[in-house]
Amino acid sequence: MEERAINLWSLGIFHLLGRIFINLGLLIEGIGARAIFLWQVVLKLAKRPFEVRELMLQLYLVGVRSLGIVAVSGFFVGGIIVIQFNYALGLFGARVYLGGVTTSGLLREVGPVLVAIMIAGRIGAFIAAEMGTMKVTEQIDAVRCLGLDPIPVLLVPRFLAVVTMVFLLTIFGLIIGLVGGAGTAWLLLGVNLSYYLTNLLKLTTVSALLLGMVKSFIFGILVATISCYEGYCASAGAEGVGRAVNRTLVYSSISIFLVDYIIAAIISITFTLAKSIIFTIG
Amino acid sequence: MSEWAHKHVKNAFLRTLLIALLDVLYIARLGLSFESIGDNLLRFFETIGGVVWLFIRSLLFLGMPPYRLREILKQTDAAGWRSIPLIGAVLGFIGLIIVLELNFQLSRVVGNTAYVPGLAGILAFREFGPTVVACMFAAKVGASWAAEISNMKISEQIDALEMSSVNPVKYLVTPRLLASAAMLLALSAIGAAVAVLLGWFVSRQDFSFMAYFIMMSKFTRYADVGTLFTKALVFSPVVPVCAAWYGLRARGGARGVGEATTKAVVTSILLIIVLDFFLNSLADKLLKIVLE
Amino acid sequence: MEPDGAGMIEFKRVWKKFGSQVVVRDLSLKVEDGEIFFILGKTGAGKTVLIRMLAGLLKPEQGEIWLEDKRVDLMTEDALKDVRRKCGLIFQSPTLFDSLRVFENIAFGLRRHFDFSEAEIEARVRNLLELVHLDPQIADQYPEFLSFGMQKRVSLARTIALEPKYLLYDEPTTGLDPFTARQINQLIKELRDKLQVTSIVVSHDLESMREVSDRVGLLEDGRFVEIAPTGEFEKSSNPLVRRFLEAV
Repeated sequence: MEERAINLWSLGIFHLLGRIFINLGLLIEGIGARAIFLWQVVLKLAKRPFEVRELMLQLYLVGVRSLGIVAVSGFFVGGIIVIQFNYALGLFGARVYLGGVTTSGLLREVGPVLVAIMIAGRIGAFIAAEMGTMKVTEQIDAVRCLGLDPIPVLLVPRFLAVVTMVFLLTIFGLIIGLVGGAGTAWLLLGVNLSYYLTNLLKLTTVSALLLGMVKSFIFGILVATISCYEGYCASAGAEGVGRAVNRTLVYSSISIFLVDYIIAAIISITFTLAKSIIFTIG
Repeated sequence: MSEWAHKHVKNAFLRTLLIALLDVLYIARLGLSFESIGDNLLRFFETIGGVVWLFIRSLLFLGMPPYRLREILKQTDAAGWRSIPLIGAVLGFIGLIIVLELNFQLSRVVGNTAYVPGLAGILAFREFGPTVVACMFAAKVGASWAAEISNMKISEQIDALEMSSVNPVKYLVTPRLLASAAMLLALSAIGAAVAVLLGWFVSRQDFSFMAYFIMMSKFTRYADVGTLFTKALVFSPVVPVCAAWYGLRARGGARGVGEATTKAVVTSILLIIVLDFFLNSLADKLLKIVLE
Repeated sequence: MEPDGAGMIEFKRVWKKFGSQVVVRDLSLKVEDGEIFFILGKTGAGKTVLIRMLAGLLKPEQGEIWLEDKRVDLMTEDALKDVRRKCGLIFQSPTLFDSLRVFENIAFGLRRHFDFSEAEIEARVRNLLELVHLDPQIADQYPEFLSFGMQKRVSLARTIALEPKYLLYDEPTTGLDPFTARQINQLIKELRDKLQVTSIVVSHDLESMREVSDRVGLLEDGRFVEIAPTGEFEKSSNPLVRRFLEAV
């Protein structure tokens, strides 16, 4: 898909339009295929016998592998946000809101997106490679020939593990991010800690936390679906596996930001509607 | 252990759950010995040292002929051109998102959205332009470079290179270093521009095109653009060096390639974030010193 | 449609195409209960495709494939699960799960199809390893550390763990040294005797054919040009058969 998109520049206008339509069609087909895949996985989520051992193992592996990077990235990104907003808010004298704005931003936007992207990079790519290799070396066919359905046996545990861990690790990452932010504010920027914390609680609402949680759940589903799909449907050879990993990274990133935008747009539209309704009523 | 479970826990599901938990605890215990922690720490420092040394070596080769211009240009195409769709898409969405977010935040805090373009501009030039673009660059280009190099390693092409007295670092890393620097500068600028443009697009009811950019220019300074390019330059060696470091160390067939790729991407992104943090705090400190 | 005769496995006028290339051409075959049927043919003649269609991994364009009293070619993936338990396919490359130890590989099907206790599973795995003449110590190893021949035997153990009534071998001796190949041939016969299974062996190994098969079919250009008991096959005057036999 990327290859075709690149050649846009070098062709005439009709070719250009044609290519755009083709790519749009491919896009819809791609989204549809993954949606169908997700549906198939969801249908088989609770299939008996349930792979308890596999699920436990996957939860452990996913969690352990991602813990470090979520902690490090969460801590430093928390600090980065504080530094940037400290500068920006300082420009129009709104420094007092530092604690509130950064925490709110972290909870609503940065936290879920950052953790999801980190896990997509670490675990998503890994699962795509793992499943892709299994597909290419006929291990998945071997599972089928043992009279077992590879989806509940192999994919469901990984899917559930990713969704669960993205959710849990977002909570973890948010806490670390807050600590990092507060620490940076206090130690690096010399901001008075109580000054920082003052408006934090005032400006941070439960809805921000809730929004963050819902987002992380949705992002978890995105990362899990994309990585399992690319791996399970990898084409032949080592190049096929490489392409699956590449596609997982790229598509995960794009979908996370796309869905994030859709959610933000929905919220903003809802707010505007609510305001105008209140305005007309009141 | 499992015999006990079979005897005392009748429910099959609970029984399997218990056995599974015991399995996991056993593996966790194995993973958490002092030896493994020490091992991991050692590997961590080894990686940092190795990466820095690789970077220095590749820099040294910059001045040595022969200059493989064609190789550099080939890498530039892969690095820059092919990443534009991803960068465009992601930064576009980010632009939309930050404006929506800032609208929300600022309307609660100061009651109006007048400062949104200014803030959006600052964030786009100082953070999202360089850092997020670099992370996406690492995910796309870093991954493919790491896959390429690790494939060469396991198919013994690296050994073949050394046999014909071509230094693999000079041949593989240095061209990518240059390509990465050039392209990341360009991509960061493009990314920041896209983010800013789409930021305007979503706040059209509040600002006209001109008004938006005038408000932005009130808060965004040339220094911010300078920050953009400085950060891009500083971030640029991270991706090729990490890709090469893990690629040249790949072992074990297709799985080795996958491992090298994943590690390269994750390490690149983490390094970018950490560097970003220290650059920001440095800049802040410098600013304070300059102002005082 | 009903199968005619007592054939346990039957292909009826089967056609298979990949794109525009016809790989299986109007092929019919009946495999008798308890025999070892050998499918001989050049590389790429369509041998593997046949047994993959029997296991339901591929579907024919035309024709019928019968296993006992059911049509395999019409089955859904879900229904095929039972077919595959009865009819075990052993791949050409061992396809062991490389993230699991040998023990877990063999126990894979056992754990999920039956509700055995740990002790029973251990006993069964040990039994299976003995059946394929492997040292039980191997159970703790990871597949990548075993020789190719050992891996093949582990994959055999994994398949027969489910007690299938039919075994489909895809090129069992290809890539093995003559000594190990002979061991595998021996094993194929032993398993038929001990487990009362019907086997189909797909291969181009003439030595294997001589040692193992009851009947042989030569597959050429997508169809059988000769099917006969091994003795008669070797003496056949069919020019295609002669050309194949003399190519060695």
